Amino acid sequence: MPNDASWHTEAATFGAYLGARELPAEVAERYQMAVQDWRSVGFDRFDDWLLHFAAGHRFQTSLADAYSRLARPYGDLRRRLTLMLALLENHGTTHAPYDRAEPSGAARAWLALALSAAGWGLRTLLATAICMPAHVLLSRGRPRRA
Amino acid sequence: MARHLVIGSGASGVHYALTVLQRGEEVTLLDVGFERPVAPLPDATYPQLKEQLDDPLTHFLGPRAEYVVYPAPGSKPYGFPPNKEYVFRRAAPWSLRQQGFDPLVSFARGGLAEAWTGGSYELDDRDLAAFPFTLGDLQPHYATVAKRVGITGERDDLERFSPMSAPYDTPLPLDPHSAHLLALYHKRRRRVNALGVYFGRSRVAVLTRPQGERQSCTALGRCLMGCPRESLYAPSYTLRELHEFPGFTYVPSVFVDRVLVDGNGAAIGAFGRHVRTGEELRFSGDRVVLAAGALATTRIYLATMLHEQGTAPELSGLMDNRHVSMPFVTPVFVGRDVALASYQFHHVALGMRGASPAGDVHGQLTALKAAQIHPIVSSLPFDFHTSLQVFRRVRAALGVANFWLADTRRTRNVARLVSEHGVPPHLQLHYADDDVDLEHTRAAITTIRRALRALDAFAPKSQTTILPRGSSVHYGGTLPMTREEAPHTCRPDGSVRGFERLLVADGAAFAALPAKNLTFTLMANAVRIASAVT
Repeated sequence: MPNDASWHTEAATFGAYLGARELPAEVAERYQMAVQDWRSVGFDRFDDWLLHFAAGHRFQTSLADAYSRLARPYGDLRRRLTLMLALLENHGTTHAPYDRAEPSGAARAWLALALSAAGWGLRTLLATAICMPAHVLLSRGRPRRA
Repeated sequence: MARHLVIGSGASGVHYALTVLQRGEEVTLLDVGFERPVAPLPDATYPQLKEQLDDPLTHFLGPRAEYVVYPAPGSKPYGFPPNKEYVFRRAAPWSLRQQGFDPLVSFARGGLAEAWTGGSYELDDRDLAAFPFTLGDLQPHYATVAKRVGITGERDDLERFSPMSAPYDTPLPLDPHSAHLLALYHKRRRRVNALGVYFGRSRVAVLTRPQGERQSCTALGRCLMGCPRESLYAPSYTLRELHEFPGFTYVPSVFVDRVLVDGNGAAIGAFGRHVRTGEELRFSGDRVVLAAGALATTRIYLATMLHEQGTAPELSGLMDNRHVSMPFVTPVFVGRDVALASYQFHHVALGMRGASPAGDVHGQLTALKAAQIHPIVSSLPFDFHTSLQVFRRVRAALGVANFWLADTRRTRNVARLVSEHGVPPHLQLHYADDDVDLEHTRAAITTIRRALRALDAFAPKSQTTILPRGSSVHYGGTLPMTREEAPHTCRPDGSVRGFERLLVADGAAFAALPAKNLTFTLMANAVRIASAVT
């Protein structure tokens, strides 16, 4: 079971990855509470590894997320990131960026979309190179205990 | 003076009750009646609510974030907020088993229409072909309901599908995305109409002027959470109005099990239980009116038959409109700002004529505005970082077309009451021929996708979903109104054959389910039945 410090680190890392400059204490607390509610759901050793890897740094989060979108779309990491996004979009001090669009004009928007897609492609390639070996290796192991 | 014992406070029950109370009669309304929570900060917009509430996380997601919509196979890109829990909470005695049918049932004050998105469309002659009364019989009651509820609309191409006999209020201002789609439609009408598709303004039960305690819409963007200004109609507002009549008695926390019948087959009351204590309760009335919603009414009827005759029949003809959800993107809106301050639901509606009434299609287009974004972002095919960037750029361009197909009564789709030893009887629903309209559904999907394409909106095939039967929330057909004498049917005035003084005022008595949103018609039909009762 992670201690409070590691919960906070994980929450802060995921918050930063999703665009929150500072994570309100209520968000971190609610994040921990909600995740603890679902810990009995059966995820396996690769889910554990992805989570551990993702919580290390927001860049690692981006790689783990890119890979899990392909390989574990309903896994532990995606659930935690969804939870964090839900908390950020509903908290009084962090909701604003999530409640608006990014008006920029069509040309800039399409350019930004193309760059986003390219970035996603590169991240996914790198993520696959890093995560797939671990996936193959750990999938041979038994599911972790609840 | 007659005392009407009305069961259920949904759209049908409250409008039946109001009609008879207005002519001086008495009503006892029995209801489970889970209550709507008070909406906080009634003048705050959707984003302001997050800033001004002491604990917005609990308000939007629940105390343990249990209302977060997590990624899962087949999950919807939206969820109901915690304050709508009262609409979908099950009353303890209710037990349902279903096959091929996944219905929603409500025990809230106001019933399922507490979560209504307000679409209000009069039926036409064609829709009523299977009903034992005419459009002329129904139209005066549309007008009555429109005055009570407040419905906006304007004359346009949809009038060829849905008449405008009732008084309609000035429509809401269009959100920019919907305005664009309608403007393009007017330019390209011939091309779209060649597909058999017609667009127009949604007609919605939203006030654009104050009415009684209800205030006009100021576009707070909180429609899904329940309008705090009460601009978007809910039957609980009419229930509140009923309390002003001296002849009205409201009895909440009662789960009605069956109708009490005397030796001559006359309904004389209702038997039920207190939902918390389980205490047995009996109520008397001169006339019993089943308005608990089609499925609950069906259960009460079957339990009555079981008690009176020792066996409950199997009721055929269970219906539900086929529901299709078709997300679309309008590329010209990529990179634009999103109109959060807007009526949150549909501004545009569509109609499509089939070869027969059973082939008709009706739909509503909702441009994405204020919304919980996490279910949408997590469903995009990228990592979260990319998905958020993409979503912010395309948000104003997103929308969803929800459309419905008509349904007809067929013998293989049934409701029955099943008794097992030691367990209270439960309602069993079996929708056996779910695939009967699949070909027509797919053809409708193709046509509507083409119609959207003609408006420069694109609906990816992979995102279109044919929802499970039961998703439309409009059920009926188990005790249909017919002219012919037949067991387990109602007369055109809603009275149940085989009983005296027993009426069905809700969708259970519908002989067909036209494609149009039926709530307006459910209310008008309840007024029609109440008006004819002597």
